[in-house]
Parts: sequence; structure tokens; C-alpha cells
Amino acid sequence: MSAGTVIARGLCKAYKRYGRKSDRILEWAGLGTRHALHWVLEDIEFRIAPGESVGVVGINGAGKSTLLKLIAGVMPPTSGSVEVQGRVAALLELGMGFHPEFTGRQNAKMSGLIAGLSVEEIGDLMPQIEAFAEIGDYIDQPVRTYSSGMQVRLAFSVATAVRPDILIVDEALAVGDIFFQQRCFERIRDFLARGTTLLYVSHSAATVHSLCDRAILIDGGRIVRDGPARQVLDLYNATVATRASRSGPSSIVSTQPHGNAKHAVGSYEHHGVAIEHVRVSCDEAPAQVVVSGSQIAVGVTIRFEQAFADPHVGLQVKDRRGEAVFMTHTHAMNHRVGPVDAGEIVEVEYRFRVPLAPGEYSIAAGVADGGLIGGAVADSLARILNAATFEVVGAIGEPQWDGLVNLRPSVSIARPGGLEAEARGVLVSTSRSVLWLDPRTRRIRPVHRGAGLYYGIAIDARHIYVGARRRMVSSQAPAADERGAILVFGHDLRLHQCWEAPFPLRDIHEIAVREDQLWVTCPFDNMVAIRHPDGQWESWYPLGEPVNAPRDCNHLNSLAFTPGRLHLLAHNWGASERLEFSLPDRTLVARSALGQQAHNLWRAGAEWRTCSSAEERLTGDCGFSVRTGGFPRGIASLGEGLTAVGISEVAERERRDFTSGSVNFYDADWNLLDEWVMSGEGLVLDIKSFP
Amino acid sequence: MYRLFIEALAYRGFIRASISREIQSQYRGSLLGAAWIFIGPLALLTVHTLIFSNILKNRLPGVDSAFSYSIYLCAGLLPWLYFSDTVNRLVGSFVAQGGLIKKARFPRICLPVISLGVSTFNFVVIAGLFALFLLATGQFPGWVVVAAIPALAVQVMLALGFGVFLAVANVFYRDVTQMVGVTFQFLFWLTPIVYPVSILPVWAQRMIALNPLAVLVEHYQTVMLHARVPGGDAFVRLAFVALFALLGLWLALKIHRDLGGEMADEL
Repeated sequence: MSAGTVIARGLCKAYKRYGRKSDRILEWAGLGTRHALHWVLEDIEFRIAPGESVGVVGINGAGKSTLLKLIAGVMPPTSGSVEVQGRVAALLELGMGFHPEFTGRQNAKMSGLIAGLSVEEIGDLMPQIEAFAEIGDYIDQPVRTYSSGMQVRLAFSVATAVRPDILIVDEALAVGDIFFQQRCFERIRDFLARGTTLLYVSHSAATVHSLCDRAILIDGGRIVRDGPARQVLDLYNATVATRASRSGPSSIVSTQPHGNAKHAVGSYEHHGVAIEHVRVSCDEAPAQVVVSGSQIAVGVTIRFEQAFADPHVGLQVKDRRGEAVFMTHTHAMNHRVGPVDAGEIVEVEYRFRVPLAPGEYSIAAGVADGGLIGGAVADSLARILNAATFEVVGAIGEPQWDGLVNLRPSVSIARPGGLEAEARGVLVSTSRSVLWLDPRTRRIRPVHRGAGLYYGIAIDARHIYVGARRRMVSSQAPAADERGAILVFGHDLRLHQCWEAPFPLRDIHEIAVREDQLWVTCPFDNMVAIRHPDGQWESWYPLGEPVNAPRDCNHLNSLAFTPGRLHLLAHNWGASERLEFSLPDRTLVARSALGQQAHNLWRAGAEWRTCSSAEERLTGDCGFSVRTGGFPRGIASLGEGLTAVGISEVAERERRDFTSGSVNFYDADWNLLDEWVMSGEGLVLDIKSFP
Repeated sequence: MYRLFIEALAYRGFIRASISREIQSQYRGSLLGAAWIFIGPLALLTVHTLIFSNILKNRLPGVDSAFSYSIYLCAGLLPWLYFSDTVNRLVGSFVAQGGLIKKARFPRICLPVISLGVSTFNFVVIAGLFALFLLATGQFPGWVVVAAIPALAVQVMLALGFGVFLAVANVFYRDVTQMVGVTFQFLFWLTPIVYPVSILPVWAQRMIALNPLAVLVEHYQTVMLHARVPGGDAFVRLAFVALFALLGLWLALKIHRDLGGEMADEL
């Protein structure tokens, strides 16, 4: 039997009741049996394996504390046995052995000694005990000067200084403020994670839920149910509710029904009430799966078989662990159903949002009679657990969060220095996503993900166009199979359309929009695709259609417009050139050298400039040169002399999609103001200022 | 028995700390603090020596020294105080630590050991002061004092046995402490501490001889006052007392075994 096992076999405990005081001595002296046995526990049988966390629940006087004391070895059983393997720490009462006149430190030592630790062990553990108790200098003050909260913190800290094999907790944690209780539970959970067996007695179903996988319900000294925590607790709640009810007995469902989820264990129905059905709907249609944050409606239909004076209808939303996320009823919401006659049917609908964590949730519906001042109800008539279920899924595109409930915070960041407050936002396309950066609020908003590389952004009065390559740099598929598309977003950054050409758009680089015509560079084919306003696509080969493979001779990757002229940047895999075409006939009129392995083309005054990627700098044909480092690609002017430049990490092909590039912000004199790192986004491909 | 000893040994840290705590708690929060450990005994000794020797000028028949009565008195009184202190502490110990017994799991044998430890400490202090007094006045009997040790051992056994027995009884019948208190009142006068036994009529002397404490006290008085090892018949009487003490220990073990488990229910 390994450490942490607890086995009870036929465990029974009775107290002797003597008629008169003297009967006890007479019996001891051998003058026959003179007592009556009052049985507190009978036939307790269970087996707890190491590492299990078991809750023990029952109403007051059921025998829970006695059972724990038997397991802890504080008192011997009357018959039967309980076997325990390993070190047991029993928190049956906090502050045991605390002498008010002695200091916290001395009392901590004493408690440790009682628990069986040696003086040296306690000395070693004292710093940790002090740290957990968090009572500061008070540890050297007499305990009588402590508040009850401090006493309890110190006692718990001492009692749990060493991780036991078996931890027994008897509602001792009911005292203390919420922070202390949270820390207690943290420590208990830490012990559980490291293999401690836990036995926990509480009246609070919520804490038993959160700590225990298994629960044992004790009533009248016997085990009524031993099973999964949720089931047992439902049964316990039902027992308590019906015991308190004045309307007479109700039948409690206590065995797991076959397949009928409507009457789950713990459900009960007074014979005068029938919950006919419960349905969940979203947007007026029955819903099984809802997005976190959306609004749902829960409708409950009840048929009353007899008259009631003040019925109320309530619901509970429970998560998959059975924790009640929320519960309310019509009385608590200051509504009344009104008196009902036999045979009446009432429908109650609740509408609410569900900003909950993804997972399965169930609805329990209940009916009660008699609203009391203060919001409680007098008699519980019916409760159907698992009346309906629904699943919550995460909202895509919404900020990520974790936990139980989405509290939907807004965040603001204040920092001295940095960019001017009036800096405009930028749209950035990377190996992985299209993002919108707002330097003012320091916020990144993902616009699109999952369509491979995004290369090429163009903006006109109505739309934003982004080239979606639909493959990654590291992709193994042949480049010739690539089929790019143009994603069309509105200015609200929502996707409206997706355009494809009748011919393949491969290796889309820069795109531009002018007079409702969309120009898309497709360097793979040495081609520029043009989409006309009527939706027709045209493929144009500025330098003639290549005959042999590879067709990407010049790697035409960027374009710019001046009045009557179209300029293309030919990367040329080396010494790059600016090609000038006259419009609308598209004849080549000039070519001039510009940059090395260059990307992007823009005009500043009389000078043509480009990102000379191979040279790690921005360069121009009149001597302009700004060193950026890295692999500059993508540039946008943000007004007031501010410029954003995309800088990618230089890396081998396979790694490029996983690198971290950045967007650098420069002022009018090309001083670096801010470097916005795009972690894990891969290459920074294009930038445009927006709005 | 052996098992009990092992259990107590495992908890010796707790025992030591508890003894120290109990001693400290007697003067905790007081103005004079630890000095009280000595002030009490000192006051007692001073009263009993000064008053009886100088003011009342008691004299013992047959012994001539100015301090003889004081020594006679203290030789009986100090062990008596040790005995009654031990038994009184023992009897109330289970009830006093009821909270601990009900809720914690530790060897209950520790509690009697702690009680004995505290009373022994008190005795050692006062006996030490008395020895100093004897040395200062040149009345120290010398190496003969070693002969008192067997008697002390028997006394401790006696106190432990009956003390633990009564301690368990006290849990179920809470007036046992009072009964013990009253019994000691009578027992004090049935023991020749304040008076020499020779002043009693013969029939009374025979009755007194049945009192085990009388035997012990006589033993101490012989050693301290007459400075000689008690004779053979004194040791025979001591042996009877030892048997009686063993009876007490047996009773204590029996009642603890039988009713010990139920103590937690009554506390």
C-alpha cells in the first residue's frame, strides 16, 4: 500500500451513553454493562487511492467530523478499521495548542512539535512559515495581540509547512478573509498536484467542486453516495432543499437514469409542478453552439397541476464541472408570475449575454413558491438539472482572454517619450497576417490571418486591397502552383470580397490602385496583372512574355505612378532598375539604375528612392542614403515627416516565416523614433498608412 | 510500557518545549519575570526557617542545633510539595489539554511526562536553594544525601501511578481534582512533616506507619537531619511502598488502556 492510501473497512463509531454518572465506574470495576450505544457512524467502507481529492459532505450531525477524526487517528473506532499509509496532517481546528501569552513564533514551534516535526526541521521551515503567514513583525508578539485572521493565517501556515501524504481539512478554512482563503486553496492545490491525498469536509458545495473530483455523502452516519463530485453534490443540494421545503415530500432522482438527461441525478419535481421543457436560442433560432459574448435566450415552460399563490421560476447556468456560473429567479429579479391555477401553463424567458470561457454549459431550471423579502424563496418545488445544454466557442478576432468570464477590460498605456501623439496608424502585411498598428494607443489589431503571406497593400476611397499569396515562404509546394488572390476590405477593416484572376497570380508583390483599376505585380511571370473596373482581368508583360523557365527574369516587384507615367521597379536579382512607361499606351521610355535587390519605389521631390534591401539602407538616385540595418522592405509616409519602414530579419528560406521583423518609425531627419517589433510574424512585406 | 517510552522519546522536542512553556507561563507578563522561580521557594524556605527556628524557637527533642527543626521541617516539606505538586498537575493535565487531545494526534503519554517535568523542575530549584542554605550554615549532611535518591525514585513512581490513574478518572468525573485537593489536606496532617512522630500515641503511630508518604518522609528526615543512611527495616518499609507504587502504575496503565480511547469523547 503506497503512501497516501486510506482504506476504511466496516468502520463504526458509537458513543457510550450512561444512565448515571456512577455507572461508568461500576462498569469498569466489572459490574456488567451499563451503557447504551449511540451510533454515530455505521458500516463506512471506502478506498481512497494516493493523490485523490475527496470531499465529504452531509448535513450537520451526519458524522463527517467524526469520520475525519477516525481517519486522523484522534480517536479509535468502535469496530471495523481504518488504514492510513503515510504522514497525515489534520486541520481539524486551526490554532490548536496556541497559548495566548506566547509569541507567534513560539506557538508556531509548539504546533510543529505537536505535529511531530523535530526542532531542527521547524527551524529550517520557519522562514517559509513566516513568509506564508504574512503577519510581519507580529510573529514576535504574543498571540493574544493577533486578530483572528492573523491567528488563522499563522496556524494554517504552520500546519501546512511540510507537505503531508494525506491532508484532512475540516471546514477550518471557513474563517479568514477571501485573500487568505484563496491562498489556502492555492497551497492545497499545490499539494494535490504533487500527489497529496485530500479529504475535505465542507458545507460549501462550491469549494468542494473546485477542489475535489470525488465526493462522499454521509447522512445519519452512513454513506449515501460515493462517486463523482458533481453527482454527489447535486444529490446533497437536493436533499438540503427538500428537507427545508414545507410543501411536502418531493421525489428526488438519485440514480443515474439511462439516457434521459432531463432528469439528471439530483433533480426533483413536486407532483403539482411539471417543467415541460427548457430551450436555448440565439437570434430567435434554437442554438446548440454560441459564440462567447453573444446574447442567448433561455425559455422555460412550466405546467402547474395545482394552484399556487406566488410561484417563481429560476434558472442556473453551470459549467462542465458543475460550478454554478450564475443563478437567479423571477423573485430575485423583482418580477412576479402571479397566482396560478391547476392546469395553467406559464412560459418564462431569460435573455442574457454569455461572455464565458469556451466549453460546455448546462442549464438547470427550477420552480419555487413564496417569495420572501430579501430575495429568497420559501419552498423549492422543482428543480431539473441539465435541462438544457449549450456550448460556448471562442470569438474569433476578439482579444484573447482566459479564465471563467470575459470582463472585457479596456486598457490604456501611459509612457513618457516615444512617438508624437498625432502619429497615424499603419497597415502592415507580414508573412502571417495583416495587422493595423496604432502608435497612439500602442494597440495592434489583427485584420486577417491564415491566407498565407500577405504582400501588397493598396488603399482607395472605399476599399483596402491586400494581396494574399495563400502560401508561405517555407512552403514545400512548387512555386508554380501558387494561386494568389486579392482580399478586399472595407475601411472598417472587415473583409468584403476576394478577387481572383482567370489566370494565376503568382508571387504577388506590390499592388496599386488608380482610377478604379487595380495593378498587381506578379514577378513570377514577369507580369503585371490589371483588374479593370468592370471586373475583367488583363495580364501585361512589360518586358515581353518570357519564354523559358524561370520566367522571373527581372522580378518586377514595385510600382509607382506620376502624371502620365507608370514606373516599375525591376529587382533584377542584383542591380535594380527603375523602368518608366508612358500611359496609357504602356511603352517603355526609360530605365535607370536604382539600388541593389531593391523593393519599393517612391518619389521625394525630384529624386526616386527605393529600399535597397541588399545594402541594408534606403537609397535614392540623387545621393539619398539612410542606413536602416536588416532587410528594409515596405515604406509609408505618415505625415508630419514621419515615415514607417518595414525591417525584416535576414534568414534562410525555411526560417523566414518565423522570424521577428519590425516596423521602424523615423522622423523628418531620419532619426529612429520607435521600433515596433512584430514578434514571430515573419517577414514584414508591405506597409501603408491608414486611415 | 516499552512502546509508550518509544513514543515519548519521539516527541521529546515537544515535551521539552511544553515543560519550558509551562514554567514560563507561571511568570509570563509579570513584573519580576523569571525571578519568581526563585522568589516563591525562597520565601517559603525563609518563613519556615526563620519563623520556626528563631521566632517560635521550636526545638526537636534529642537534637540540639538551632536549625534542627527547620531542617526536619524542610526535609519532609519539600518532598511533600514535590509529591503534591506532581499529583495535582497530573490529575488536571488531560482536562487542561482537552482541546489538543480531541483534535490532534500525538502520544498522550507526553502529557504526564510534561507534568512530571515541571514539578521536578520546581523541586530541583527549591531543593537547590535548601542545599545552599545547608552549605551556608554548615549543616549539609554530606554524601549521605545519595541515600535519599531511592526514596525519591519510589516517590516519583507513586506520584505517576496514582496521578495518571486519577487523571483519567478526572476526565469522566470532573470533581476528582477537588477530591484530590481535599485528600491532600488530610494527608498532610497524617504525615509527620510538621511534627515528630514520637509525640503521637502509639496506636496513632501504628496508623501513621501505614501511610506510604510517612515512610518516605521519615526516610528523608533520617538522611537530612541525622545525616545517616536509614537502617535495614527502613528500606524494608520502603520496599513495601515501592510495591504499592507499582500497584498504582498498574492501575494507571489499565485504566488508560480501557478508557483512554473514550477520553476524546468526554473532553
